[in-house]
Amino acid sequence: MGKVIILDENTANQIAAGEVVERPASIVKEMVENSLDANATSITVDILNGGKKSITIIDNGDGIDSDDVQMAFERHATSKIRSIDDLYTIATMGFRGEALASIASVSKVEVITKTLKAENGIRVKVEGGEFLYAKPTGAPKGTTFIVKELFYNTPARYKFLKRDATEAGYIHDAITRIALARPDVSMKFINQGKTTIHTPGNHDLLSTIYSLFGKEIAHSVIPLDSTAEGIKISGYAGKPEISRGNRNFEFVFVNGRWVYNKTIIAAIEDAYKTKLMQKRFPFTVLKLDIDPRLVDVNVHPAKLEVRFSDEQQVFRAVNFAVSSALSGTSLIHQVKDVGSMKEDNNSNLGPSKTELVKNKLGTSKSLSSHAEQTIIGLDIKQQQSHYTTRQIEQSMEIEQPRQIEQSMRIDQPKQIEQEKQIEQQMKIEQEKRFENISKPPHIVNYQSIANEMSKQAETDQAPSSQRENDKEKLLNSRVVGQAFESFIILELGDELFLIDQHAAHERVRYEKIKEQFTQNEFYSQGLMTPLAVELTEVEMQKYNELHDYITRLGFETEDFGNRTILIRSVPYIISGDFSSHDFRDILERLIGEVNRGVSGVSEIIPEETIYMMACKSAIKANRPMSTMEIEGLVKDLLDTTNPYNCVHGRPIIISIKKRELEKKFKRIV
Amino acid sequence: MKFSCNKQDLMEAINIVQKAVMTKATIPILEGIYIETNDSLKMVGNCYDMGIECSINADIQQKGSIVLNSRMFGDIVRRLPNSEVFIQVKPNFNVIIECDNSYFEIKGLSAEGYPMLPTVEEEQKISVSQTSLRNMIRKTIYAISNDENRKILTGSLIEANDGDLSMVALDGFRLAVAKVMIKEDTNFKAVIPGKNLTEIYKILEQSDKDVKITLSKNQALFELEQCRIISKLLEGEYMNYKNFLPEQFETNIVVDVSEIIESIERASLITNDDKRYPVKIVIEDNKMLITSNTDVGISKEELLININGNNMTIGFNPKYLLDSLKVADEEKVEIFFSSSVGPCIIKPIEGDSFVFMILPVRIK
Repeated sequence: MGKVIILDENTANQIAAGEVVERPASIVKEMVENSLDANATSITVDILNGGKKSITIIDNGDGIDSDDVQMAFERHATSKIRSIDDLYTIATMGFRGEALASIASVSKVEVITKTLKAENGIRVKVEGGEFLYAKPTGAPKGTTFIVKELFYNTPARYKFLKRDATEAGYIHDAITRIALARPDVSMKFINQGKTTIHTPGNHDLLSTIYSLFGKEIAHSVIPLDSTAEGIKISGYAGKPEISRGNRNFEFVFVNGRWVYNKTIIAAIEDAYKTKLMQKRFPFTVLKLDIDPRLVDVNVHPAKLEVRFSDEQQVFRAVNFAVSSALSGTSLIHQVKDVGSMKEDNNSNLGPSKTELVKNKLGTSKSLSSHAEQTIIGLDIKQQQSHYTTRQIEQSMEIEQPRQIEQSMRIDQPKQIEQEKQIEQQMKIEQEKRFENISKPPHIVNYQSIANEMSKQAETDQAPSSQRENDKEKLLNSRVVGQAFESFIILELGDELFLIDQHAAHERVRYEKIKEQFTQNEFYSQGLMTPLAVELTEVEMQKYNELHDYITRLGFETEDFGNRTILIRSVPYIISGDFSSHDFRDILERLIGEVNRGVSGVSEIIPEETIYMMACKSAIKANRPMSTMEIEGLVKDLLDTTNPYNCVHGRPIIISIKKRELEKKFKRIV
Repeated sequence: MKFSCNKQDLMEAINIVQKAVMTKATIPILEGIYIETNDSLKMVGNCYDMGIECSINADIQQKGSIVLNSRMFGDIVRRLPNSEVFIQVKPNFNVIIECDNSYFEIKGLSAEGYPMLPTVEEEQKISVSQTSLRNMIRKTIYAISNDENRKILTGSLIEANDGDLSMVALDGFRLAVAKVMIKEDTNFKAVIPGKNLTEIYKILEQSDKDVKITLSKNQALFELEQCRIISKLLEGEYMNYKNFLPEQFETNIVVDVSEIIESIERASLITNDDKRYPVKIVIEDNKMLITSNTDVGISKEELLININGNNMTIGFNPKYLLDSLKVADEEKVEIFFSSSVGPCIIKPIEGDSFVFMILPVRIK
């Protein structure tokens, strides 16, 4: 008898499970995606012991037809595509038809499902890929999916699971990503009986961010919305002040799917260059909408990676979107009372976060127009009717944040705008719900007011105006003087601005020097002996593509064959300390630079060299300055492209509110 | 150990041997100066790639040896009054330094284990006057490369060939060769680290006294009257620099050295601190026009010269021109241009005591 046999189906499924079902988080991801594909608007994930003991996923989606339930457990059984051609226009999350079969083969699965039309639900049980029974049962519309004892029949895989808390963390991450991808769906995550995530599902990304990451982050993000090169990019970019120590908070979604893509990450981080300190990474939630034909999502079994047909195009589009969002917005770092921030964070941990958000927003608006007040009145009434049981709890919670909310609002016009936006969204959402209950004749009016308001908010938020606003503010402020002969103090209205004089001048010098280099004519210094540089195949190809550009910069090079090039002259400005090793670095930088469509000399001079020049020629701390000098410096600083951060990413300007001082003096408690 | 000597003599010797003592070492003894009294007072400094031994006259009362921290010993002696210094080592290695009304007792280290200078096998030996060697170093040292990736170019080539002694330095953009005649008819080649040559230059005096240079396989010994300096050699093959020197020229001119230096210096005044610009040289009708055009403004200088050959427009890094012209030590030099993009050569009008070659900057 031959040695080659065909594996039985169950074994095949268990092997296939390895690709899709790696750990509890993968099951959650697959099944929640199924729920989303089934048009669910509310999904609850409940886990015990990091999902090892049980995972319960409850949705209010379409449900599965009783005829189809059994078949759904077969491998390559899918309702989402019919043929390979559908892949190119795929809009659903899943399509491979592997998930359900794979999960069922390595655990004990129970499914309770009912479609809208069906008279009763059906309960199906499958253990280790063996179909046990299917019997009718009472159930609401939707699907409940219970996975127990994961990997009970594959102990080798079970061994590789991490501690409960770690696995729960992975699930938390997976749900966070899905929640951000789908602000229209209310996601709830219960771990060991505790609700740790609950998003509003009100179509508003900002309120989703608020509920997931808290107030500090939601108030420090800059909206972005641009369409470039046929790619629509929307979402939020975090201000440098909420930067992170790792990349875990750079969320990228392509056509609604969370992905990891190096090109996009590189484009984001490039836009943050010189705005963040070294080893700090931005907070971003970016959503790319791109023609599905230009993306290949079928690269990775769990669909975590995508390929683009034109990576450079994506790089440019993302880079442009993020850069322009950052360049327009006020990035002045605000000094806040640490105490209040803490309280704030705590308040966000409560289970009724969503409601809290709404209430806070409602209260924070008390100073707004009459019309709005009426709406709030309605809102609150509505909420009262909805959440009567929580009334007491709410009123307790509202008290605390209100004060902070008010203080924030008074001094931060920008944040008010953001809050307004959240409010607008919430309001529209609530009004929709309201409509279902009753249809008061004046609703239309509110809606139009709301629309107008949100339009207003949008224009107020137009990046250039904010930057202009900062500029205006700082230019009109009174020079109080200089502290410690190192910091400039300005005063305007109820705000004090402190400027680090060295950092400010360094930024001014940096931009000036860089500009000088960009305008430079490209002289080239001849070499006595040509330098031979050996390139890799890829570098060689890039070299050939960029040959004209390289020549224009002052290099005189020729192909010497065998992937070696000879350099006969080098750009004059770097001739002093050029070494053959530098050429490959420069080539690499040029590739990046050309991607962005920028040209200039800045890429052949190491950025650090320009930093050094800027730093050396800038005035130092401990140097007295006259008022005239201070005014001049402030003006120059405001003319730079980024007056907020020094070239190393440290802040240049910070502001302190009068209120903060008053708090310190206990004039306000 | 016990001796006394003149403060000035002692200071001079310390200054010399200190050049070969590491300022930061992992072992304290390597931060020290070795002092030995035998027939005379001998001091030694030795680091990884250079060692210096210096002898001075002293009144020796008791023979012995000790190691003293170089910085501390130097600082103390420097500030002593100009008088006789008495030094005595106690059995516990404490060292007493006395001079007039000053008294120090500082800790010394046992001389055991101090790396002494190696003996150099006398293979090839030449002698040259201190002044000549000094001049050769001065005329070439500026052209050594600081590219650590091409280590061999961070040193100068010293080459004896049928009665000629040449020193060569090049950094890829320029080349400097200085030459003197020697009596010996030996042939050798060695590359001495530029850093060590700089120190040797400082030790050499303007004098007709000879320096004896001995070469072995991996080190060079420079012997002066009271001093022995040993330098490691850089390993590797030095470039065959003679191949770079062009032989055919389109144009040659004769210029007054101090005039052209002043003109170039003025022309480079209007460059920015952050960024330097090349100067443009136009040669026509027995005139040399030196111009620079920067983001600050423009400048023009005109010099009368003798031309032989075609008119020429060529650009240079002014620093390269100045570096060479300033060490020419001649009233007039002859400059040869191979082409407007090829190397140019600066030579004395008579003789071949130096050859400087500079690669131009392409001007659009």
